[in-house]
Amino acid sequence: MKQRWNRLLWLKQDYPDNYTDPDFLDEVLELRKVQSSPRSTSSYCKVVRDFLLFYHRVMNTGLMYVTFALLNHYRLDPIYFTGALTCLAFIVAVLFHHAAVPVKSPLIIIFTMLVLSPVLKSLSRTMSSDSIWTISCWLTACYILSIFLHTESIVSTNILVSNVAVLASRLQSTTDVFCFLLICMELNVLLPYLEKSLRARHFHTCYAIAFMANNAVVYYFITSCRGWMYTIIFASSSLSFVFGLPRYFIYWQQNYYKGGELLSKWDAKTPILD
Amino acid sequence: MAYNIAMVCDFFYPQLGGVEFHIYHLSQKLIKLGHSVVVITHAYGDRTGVRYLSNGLKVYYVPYVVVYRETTIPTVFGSLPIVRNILIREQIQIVHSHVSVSSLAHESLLHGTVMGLETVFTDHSLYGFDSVNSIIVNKLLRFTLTNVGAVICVSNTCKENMALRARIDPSQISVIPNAVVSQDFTPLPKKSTRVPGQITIVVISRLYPNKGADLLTHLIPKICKIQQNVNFIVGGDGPKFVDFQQMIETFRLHDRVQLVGAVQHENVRDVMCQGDIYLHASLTEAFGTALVEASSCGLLIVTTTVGGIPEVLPKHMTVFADKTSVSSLVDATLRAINLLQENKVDTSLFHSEVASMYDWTDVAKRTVVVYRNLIQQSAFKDKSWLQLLKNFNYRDRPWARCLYTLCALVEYMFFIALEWWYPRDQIDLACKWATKEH
Amino acid sequence: MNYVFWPKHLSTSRHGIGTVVAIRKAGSDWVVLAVLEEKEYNHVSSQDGYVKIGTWDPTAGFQTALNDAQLCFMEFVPPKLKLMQFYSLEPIPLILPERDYLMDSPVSKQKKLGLEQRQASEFRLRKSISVLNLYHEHLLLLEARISRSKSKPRRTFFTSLYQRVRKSNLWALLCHWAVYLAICVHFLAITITTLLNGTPLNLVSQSATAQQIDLRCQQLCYFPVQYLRINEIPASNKTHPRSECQETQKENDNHISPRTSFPCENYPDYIRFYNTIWLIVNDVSFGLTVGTLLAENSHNISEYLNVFFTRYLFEKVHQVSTLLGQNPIGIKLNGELACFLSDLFLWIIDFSYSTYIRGIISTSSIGFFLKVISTTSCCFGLTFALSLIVDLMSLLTMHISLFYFISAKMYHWQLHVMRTLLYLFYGKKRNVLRNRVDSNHFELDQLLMGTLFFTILIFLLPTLSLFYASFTVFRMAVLMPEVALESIMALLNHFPLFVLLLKLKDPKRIPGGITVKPIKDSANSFNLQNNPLMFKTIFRPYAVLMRMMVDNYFSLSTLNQVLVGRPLTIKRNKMYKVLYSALPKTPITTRAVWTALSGALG
Repeated sequence: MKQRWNRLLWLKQDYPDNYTDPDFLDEVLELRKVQSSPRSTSSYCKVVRDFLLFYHRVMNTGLMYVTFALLNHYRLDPIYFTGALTCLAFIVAVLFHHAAVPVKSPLIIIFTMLVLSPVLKSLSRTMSSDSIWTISCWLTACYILSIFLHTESIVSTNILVSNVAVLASRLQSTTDVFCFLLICMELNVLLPYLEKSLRARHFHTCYAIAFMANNAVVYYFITSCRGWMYTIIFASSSLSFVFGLPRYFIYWQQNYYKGGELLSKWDAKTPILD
Repeated sequence: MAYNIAMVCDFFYPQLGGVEFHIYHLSQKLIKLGHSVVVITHAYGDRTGVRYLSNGLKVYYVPYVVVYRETTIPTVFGSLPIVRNILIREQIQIVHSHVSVSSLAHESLLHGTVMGLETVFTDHSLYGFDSVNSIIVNKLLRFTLTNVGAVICVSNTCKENMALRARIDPSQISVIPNAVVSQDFTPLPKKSTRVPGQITIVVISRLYPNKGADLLTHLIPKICKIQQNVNFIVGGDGPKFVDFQQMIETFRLHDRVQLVGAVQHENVRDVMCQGDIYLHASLTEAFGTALVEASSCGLLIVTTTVGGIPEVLPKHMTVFADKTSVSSLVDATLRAINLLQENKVDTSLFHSEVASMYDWTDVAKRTVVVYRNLIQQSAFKDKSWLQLLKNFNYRDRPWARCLYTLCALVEYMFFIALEWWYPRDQIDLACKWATKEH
Repeated sequence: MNYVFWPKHLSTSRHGIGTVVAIRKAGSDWVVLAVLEEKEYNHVSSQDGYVKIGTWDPTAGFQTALNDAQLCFMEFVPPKLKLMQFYSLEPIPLILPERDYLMDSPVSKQKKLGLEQRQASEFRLRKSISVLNLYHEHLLLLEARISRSKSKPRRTFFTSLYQRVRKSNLWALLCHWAVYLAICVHFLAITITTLLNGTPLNLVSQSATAQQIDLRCQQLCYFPVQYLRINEIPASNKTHPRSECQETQKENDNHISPRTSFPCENYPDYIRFYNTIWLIVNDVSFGLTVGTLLAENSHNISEYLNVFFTRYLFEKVHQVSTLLGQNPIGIKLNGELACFLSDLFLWIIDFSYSTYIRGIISTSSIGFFLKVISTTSCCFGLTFALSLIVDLMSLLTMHISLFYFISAKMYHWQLHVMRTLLYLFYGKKRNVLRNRVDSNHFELDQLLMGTLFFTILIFLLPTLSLFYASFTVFRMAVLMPEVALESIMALLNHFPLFVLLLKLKDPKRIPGGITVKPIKDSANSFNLQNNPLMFKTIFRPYAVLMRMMVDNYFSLSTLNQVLVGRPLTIKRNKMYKVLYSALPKTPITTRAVWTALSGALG
């Protein structure tokens, strides 16, 4: 009786080179079946949650425009506002880390921003307001795209600072610019980090409160600036994004997605650096 | 029965690498077996025209535009005139293409099919299904392998991969592994010159992230800390070379780790023979010729289990790390060091074992078997153009089908035009190099 | 295969049968000297190396008496040594061989390779050609042997006078004084050259006038050596080592000086020496013309120049600077930076204008300068005048060059900082110690600061680029006339006038090789001809110079330089050194010259 076929190259076996073991054949057929048939997909809830997180991030970005409008149109006195926000952030950071927060880094950042605020203010002074609004729009879009592609990379921070620099020339004084920059940094760098740690520690109620507050602020602002019409349009599109789009995503995953654990057997493995 | 074979690939001498050596050694052994082999590749710098390598291996360096890392620009029909001329002139019966990323190889398969010759394709790497690169290569492969005669893969994993990527019948795929020239990789006669108790680990690879350079930069300091009598020799060059230099400087391993830089092929054996263990941390590998070379030099192998590596060497010659993680590799390396220190493994027999396992003459003979089957079966296959077009039509999805059929049609029309413009009888036939009868 | 070199005139001259007499030096082929009568031949003993190789008949041709059946005839026209004609296998070197590296082209490297091979294989041909060149000498010797009894050639009146003067004491005194004068001039010239070339100031590369003075001094230093060499005075051996032997002139009674070696090395020196002298004379004569022209029209010229300079050196630049500070063409520049830069440059313009430019370009001072230039050109030559103009121009446009360097530096800094910040964003840092790019982990505050700076620099880039671009244009506009003037100076200083005229008048004096062509209707006869130097070879230094200038100013690498921010300068050292190829690298010391000259005297 012939020896069983071994999946080895160094052994001289009695089988021809194009011999296909029945097991091998089954495996291939199964894999091919897996490849072509609709696959198991992620659950609807999970997808909705991921979409919700993305929506939350976009809202966060919207807060930036809220601040800008407050400073520009409503001429709010920024110092108290900024001071309060910064103290709050500091307290929260201390509470959460249970350790000595390094003073050096925030202090350096704040002083650099203070020194560079007049420069930032003058960077786009010669541009007309229309082009500034357009550029700011595009930069926000790029920012959201970069968040989507790589979270927490330096490119998104760069785009954020460019956005601030572009808008800064429309503000009144350099104090305004400094406060605006500080608030944007806090809102877009510190706040998402805080929310991620909230989620990691399962403080879901706190997170929910933050989320609600965010939404409330943005919607209130839209209502008071533009009226109910805009709020309704915006709210309905957000709802359809968060609850409707996941269905399409699941459909795509079922029928078109070619990845998955079985087929990624042949990709280069990721190194685990522990 | 002597065949006239054309090996086609973008990568050949003077570029030196695994694929190039494979083609060269296979061609040499085929010539020794009495067949006539011609290599078609693109021009390297001012090396154009026809050159001869040893034993009358004729190489055609076709002047062509090179785009990226010695690959020619992919036009589907651009190479038809010159390749047709060469195939007629050399009276080729079998067109044997290598490597999936070589556009010249793909195009030659198509031209060979159109001209009614037998076609064989060999693949040397594994491709996933996720990245953009892989998707493009797979689509291309599906097009060109529709009408191929036979496919050769270098390992069983490669065969699976090929069957899924190109959707061809597994019985059409033969598994013929690579080989090494064992005389070039002999161990040192006696290891008396080495300090007893000292173990040297050799790493020779291109320092790219997908070859595990990150893993290496993390595991070398760990091992050096745990074991005091271990030295490292790292050969090779690449984008991660600076990371290795930084690792040495950060952990002060100047006297324990030696960075040799790029190693010429003729010096690989000398570098390897300085070591006791060969460490291979690659993240993807179809065959792993370096492992066989290292074994032939008498080194114990420590490697990850990706791709086709588990099939290459017997268990007593290797120590496997089951995951591609630093801790797993460190564990495996320590086990290997332990094995050597307690003399549980005798590496002096490795060379003769490897010499019996892998040999280029064997590879050549098995390849000739594939050719023979192909030629014998060609009488029964319907090779009319209509049938070939139909084959294209049965592939894939609607859009792809249209595209394939359209390409094939244009290729046929171009071929007919060339047959009229440069008639076959006006092409001089080349003289074949006289071979010694064995 | 043996070759016989047959002078053309012998085929037509004699009537009747005669003996063909030829000589053969070690390693060469037969060179036929003359066709003699039988009795004349008997005077000649074969000990002197004269051999009868056959007989000549006008009707039947040549009948050989040699054992060789295979003979090849090469017909040639004997070169007239007194007119300095000669044949040569290699082209006559117009530049000193030691300076060939300046040409720096792959052709010269290939030539060197071929040279060694040819020297080995054509050894016999080389020897034959040496014998050929001394044809007339050998013929004279032969005739002297035959006709010993004949009368001596008559001396002309002038020859005898010449001989008497040469032997007198006055002549010796004049020679001594000439030598002393030469030594003084040489010493002065060498001092000036060393001063000008001495580092760190290195005036030669800074100022065109200094370069011109240096060139003249080096030429003056080289004159004595060249003169000695071309008059073949043996003491000149020690000043320049040479490979061929030089025998001293033997003064015979009948003034036949048989040279048994070939003085071909002196001919290039002869050409170079007289070329230099001729160029200097040309220079002075052009200078006289231009100088008087300038002097006559100085009033008109100075008025015109006054207006021209005021407009272009001051007003236009002023306008452009102001314009750049105010958002030109609707490009949105950063107000503060643009204002600052334009104010800076305006200040520099105003300052330089009020301090010295206004003084220099006023009509009276221009007139003064014109007078100085015309005097210089009348005394020293046009080249000096041109160099003074070049230096004056660079002085006048110093403020523009200053702007250019400032803005280039700022632009380069900005690009450098942006590149470092980009490294920061990729997690890399430049390791200056090891000259490589390392990975590095950066803190959050470092990254944020980097972001802030990067954004600011990106927004400020258009402003600075615009300033840099406009000042680069100014700088090119200033450089072009200077380069043009320096090219004219190069033409005046180094034009191979002598060689060109020789090529027209007597190409046999500038051999560039030999041509051997088979004669029609004849199986084994060839025609040996001289191949004069080609125009291409004559003008090779210029071709190299042109190529270097194009590379420096009009090539892709210049564009690259401009884009990166490295400043453009005239590299006088590199470019015009090519034209110094006729002068030795280090001037010969005064002591050596003194020894040579005094040796020549005594």
